Amino acid sequence: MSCRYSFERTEKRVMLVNVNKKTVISAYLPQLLLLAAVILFLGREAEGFLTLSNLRNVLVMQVPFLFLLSMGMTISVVVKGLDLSIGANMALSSCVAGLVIKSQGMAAGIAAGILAGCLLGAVNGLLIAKVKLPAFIATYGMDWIGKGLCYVLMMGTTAYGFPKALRELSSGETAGISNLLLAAGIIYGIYSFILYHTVPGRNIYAIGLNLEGARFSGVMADRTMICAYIMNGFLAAVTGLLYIGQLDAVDPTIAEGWNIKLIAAVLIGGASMSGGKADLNHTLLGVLILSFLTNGINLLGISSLWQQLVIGLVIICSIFMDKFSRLILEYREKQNWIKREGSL
Amino acid sequence: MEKKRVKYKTDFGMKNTSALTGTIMVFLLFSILSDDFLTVYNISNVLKNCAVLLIASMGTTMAILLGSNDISVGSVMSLGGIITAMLIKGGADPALAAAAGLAAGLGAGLINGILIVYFQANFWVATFAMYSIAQGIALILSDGNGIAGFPGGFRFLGTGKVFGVYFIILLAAALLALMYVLLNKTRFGGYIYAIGESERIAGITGIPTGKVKLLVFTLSGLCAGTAGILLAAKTNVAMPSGGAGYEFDAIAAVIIGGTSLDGGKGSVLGTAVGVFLITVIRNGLTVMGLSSVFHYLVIGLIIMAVIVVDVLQIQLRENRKESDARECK
Repeated sequence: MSCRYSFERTEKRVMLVNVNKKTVISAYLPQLLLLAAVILFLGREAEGFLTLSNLRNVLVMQVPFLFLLSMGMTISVVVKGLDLSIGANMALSSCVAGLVIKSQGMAAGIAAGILAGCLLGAVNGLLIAKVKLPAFIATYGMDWIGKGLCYVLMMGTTAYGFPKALRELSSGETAGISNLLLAAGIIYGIYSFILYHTVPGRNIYAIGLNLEGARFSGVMADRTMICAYIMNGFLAAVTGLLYIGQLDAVDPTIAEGWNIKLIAAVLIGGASMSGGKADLNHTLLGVLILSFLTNGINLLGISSLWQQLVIGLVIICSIFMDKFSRLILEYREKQNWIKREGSL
Repeated sequence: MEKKRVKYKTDFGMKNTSALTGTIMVFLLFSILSDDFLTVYNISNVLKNCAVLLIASMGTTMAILLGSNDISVGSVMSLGGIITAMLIKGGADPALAAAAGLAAGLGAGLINGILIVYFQANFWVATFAMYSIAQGIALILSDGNGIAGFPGGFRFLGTGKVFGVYFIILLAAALLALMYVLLNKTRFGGYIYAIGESERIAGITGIPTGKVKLLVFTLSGLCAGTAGILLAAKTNVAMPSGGAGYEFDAIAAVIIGGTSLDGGKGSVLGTAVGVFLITVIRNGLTVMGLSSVFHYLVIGLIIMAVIVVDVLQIQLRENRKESDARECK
């Protein structure tokens, strides 16, 4: 019961006055069930999984980064693409920010990092909207170019020892809540608002569902596409800044291997690649499932070499879920038809 | 389809010669800039590298002609190489070990096909999952370490010579010819072009689209497995991430070769030109002694530039055709 359903249901919810609470929950049911299964299994099998310190570690140290980047990936899936440059974008904006912070000071560094992230996103958007490259090719190419820029910028060195304010930004607490969690929460709120309650946000969904249709109904499709990728790049830059604050160092390999995790998180959240069918709440559940799973692998004492395999299997699992939910939908439609017409 | 076949007979399916001109220009450029580039040793080195990439990108060509894509190529190459290397190290007969490597590639491709055909998975998602899984298995099997040093019989695949020409080059040329015949002279090839043009219409006209797709992805996996084994034999080492990046090169080669990403248009000969261009660029940069810091960026920029120019050119041509048609009306 991927988001496809939830999205259709939310559409219905807007149209119908009677809100059926059951349908809202059932839109999240497979992900919630999977999450419960993962937690139950790891709670039984992995020693120290259900301790406060471990859960705190997962929720505060790992989930925010993954979730921030996954939101960007979700947006690119909504516009019928797949952004493979998020990792490189995060690395590039961290490198730019790191270098400028060391030489020009903190404010300039943060601004430069965010600018770099948005710029790379804008190039992605331009390549996809104007040159009409498939999103995959455009972003894969930008992944190489971004990585290449990092290597050239850093010249094989590592920048480290950032000002205390930057480290405070990602490891400090505000009002008893970790800054990382707070940042993720605030951005989640803003992005939810933009995507679900403003015209540009709805336009992003519109061009994902039907690009030509949206264009004919007056949506500035190219501009919206570029905006979507800039939103995506902004997230990568913010995550990069928080990440280097936590590591207190930056080098070009900082974001190696993140892309596949993001894709796994978004897909296990039930996003569909056919465009317009992904949302942030589902992605959050996907991120939680994936984070607990990778944490569990470590706790169970399984070699970290297994991580790639497990992530791949998780994606395959999401394919099965998608197929299963489609079968259920077909079955329901058949039943409804029988109910209405008496027989097939 | 008859019409298309006639057309391909005349120009070997290479609609745009820009790739060929670009290749010749880059080749000349490197020859002028570097003394070490145009030597027999280096050129045979380039051709050997070409052979591996060419075999890997044949599968990608088929997948893209079909209107899909396969990004598991690089990882499946690593997996094939690692499995073969481990079996050889374990004392198995090299031929048997190579067969196992091929079987691994075949299996990976088959799983891709099953996921795409029977579970209606998006091809990016399915092949990306396989990318991760094949990489994961290669890492687990090899414990993250490379396996080096193979017996002479196996090394012959990569470094042996037949009639003064490297065996690996002959093999790639033979496979290229085979693939050309398969795509252009057989019914199966026609089916691939037809599905790439429009899957729905192909289905309506009675083409077994599911079976064709399954076979294409299986063959793509097989090609990747072959390339992985050859890579191991050529370099005398199998790395768990040895094939990483080959999928990007393969896709780039196919696009540079003038194959449309929408499917249904293109030729495997174009891919061969694209493969040559990419290999020459990579080799030329190394020969010229460019610091490795710049490699990622320069290669990424060049490949992206070629792709963008190519795509824009095709769009321009199509726009012109459309406006011509409008004027005729």
